[in-house]
Amino acid sequence: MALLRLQKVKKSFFGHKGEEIEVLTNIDLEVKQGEFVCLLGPSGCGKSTLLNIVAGLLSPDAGAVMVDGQPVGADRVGMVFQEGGLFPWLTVLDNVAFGLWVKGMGKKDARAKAREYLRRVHLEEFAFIYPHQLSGGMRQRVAIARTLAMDPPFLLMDEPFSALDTRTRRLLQQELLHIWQQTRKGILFVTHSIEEALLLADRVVVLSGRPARIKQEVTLPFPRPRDLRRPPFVFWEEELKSLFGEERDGQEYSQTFYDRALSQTAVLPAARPFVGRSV
Amino acid sequence: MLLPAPSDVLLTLVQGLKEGTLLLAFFSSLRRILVSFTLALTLGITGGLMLGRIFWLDRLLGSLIIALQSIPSVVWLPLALLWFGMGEGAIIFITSLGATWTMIINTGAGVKRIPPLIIKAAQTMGVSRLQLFTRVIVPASVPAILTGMRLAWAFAWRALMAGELLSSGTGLGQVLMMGRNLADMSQILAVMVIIGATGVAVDGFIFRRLEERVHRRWGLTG
Ligand SMILES: Nc1ncnc2c1ncn2[C@@H]1O[C@H](COP(=O)(O)OP(=O)(O)OP(=O)(O)O)[C@@H](O)[C@H]1O
Ligand SMILES: [Mg+2]
Repeated sequence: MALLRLQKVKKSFFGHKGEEIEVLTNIDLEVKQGEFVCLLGPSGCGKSTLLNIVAGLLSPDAGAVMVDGQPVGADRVGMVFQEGGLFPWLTVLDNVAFGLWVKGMGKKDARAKAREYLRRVHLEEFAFIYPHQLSGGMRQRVAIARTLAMDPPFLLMDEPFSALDTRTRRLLQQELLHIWQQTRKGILFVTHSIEEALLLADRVVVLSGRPARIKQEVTLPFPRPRDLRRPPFVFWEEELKSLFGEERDGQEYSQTFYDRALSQTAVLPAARPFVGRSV
Repeated sequence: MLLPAPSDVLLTLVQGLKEGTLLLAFFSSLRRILVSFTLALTLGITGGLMLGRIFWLDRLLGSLIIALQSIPSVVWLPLALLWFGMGEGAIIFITSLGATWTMIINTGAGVKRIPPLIIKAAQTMGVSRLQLFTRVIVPASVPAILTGMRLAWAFAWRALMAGELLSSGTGLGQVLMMGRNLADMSQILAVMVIIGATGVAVDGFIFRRLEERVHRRWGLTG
């Protein structure tokens, strides 16, 4: 059974003049237990809106959102934001412990558990300083630790690494993969970067421009760590780039897409690189 | 003679403190301002938190409060004297008033400036409405509340002196008026020195320190 299931989710906002801006139309999406799904799409297409809906911060105008077979609730979904969103008045340790206090855990237990999660992101020795004393990458790690400490079965990540330099981003990507492989949570990860999606995802979901609908899904059953200079990734990078760049006629497009993908796959032993689905 | 010699003022000051008349006046004023300030903080922070979070309330009362804040508190004195009589009540009323509006405005502005991301993050961690308020909204507004307290203190101190000048009792303002009646300029100046020094000392030793500490912790200063 899917851990996350979105069915026919729609969302509109109202613009300055009261006009309706359709942001999401008929989004159907499933993420399984232990699956890492990356959401790619042009800026402003509605990726954050979609994540906010799954997190329960926004309610959809229509459609259903089920996590673990139940309507959304904060105890099953954790979210990591692009800019961290840490509490400046709490120490790093207490930032991580915050969610546990809220859940009713005692101060001492919560701090002990928070420590353990800080260790996982290698920030143990920074426990007693305040967020502004950390670098951007460290803050992002604290944000991840704070979400993981709550141990939600499902993680939402909204461009968590996009504000970081390449080296730090690489490191955090590795750390995240490591933690994910240990905990086997379902992850829905928004990114602008095709490269990032190829490095991380079991499946890449490509959204169209606003109003967002699912344009393509690509499955990447390749082992990690991945070398993006290798053939399947070079190929998919090109494909995703062209998918991003232009809107083509769906029918015609998907035919060539399948053909080229298949011819590429043949070179790879025992790898079935995709499930193409044009919507 | 326009002004007394500084040595005379110093002498009066030392004598007044020794004899206890000035000291008594000082403590009488201090008591009043502590009562008023506590009142203003309680009302102002509560009001500001409500205004910052409740949209329609802000729409309804926001500009009225800004208008009220621009009225010097001492203008309320005649009305306060009619309501409370010539006593403590009237003075405490006008002293609290000026500080209260400032506290409401500053706290409210602080609440509205809380980054939505912080609130969203707390919500994804499952805070209840009450927890959101006590564990996020209130602590997140602390810098703004402290700034408000500094301003409110200055307003309250001014209002208190004005009130005491114009009514009866035993505060510093009243000793000031007594000096005028006795044409004792060195007494007047001695009291003025105390008033100024108290204002500066409280601001510098209490509020500025608190504010600096919070700003350092939050990384709001360089
Ligand atoms: N509360 C809101 N009121 C009105 N319009 C909104 C609101 N939130 C988002 N929008 C609009 O909805 C669209 C989608 O926004 P969203 O933040 O989901 O985009 P995004 O895909 O996450 O973009 P980016 O990649 O730049 O983060 C945008 O055009 C935005 O202007
Ligand atoms: Mg976004």
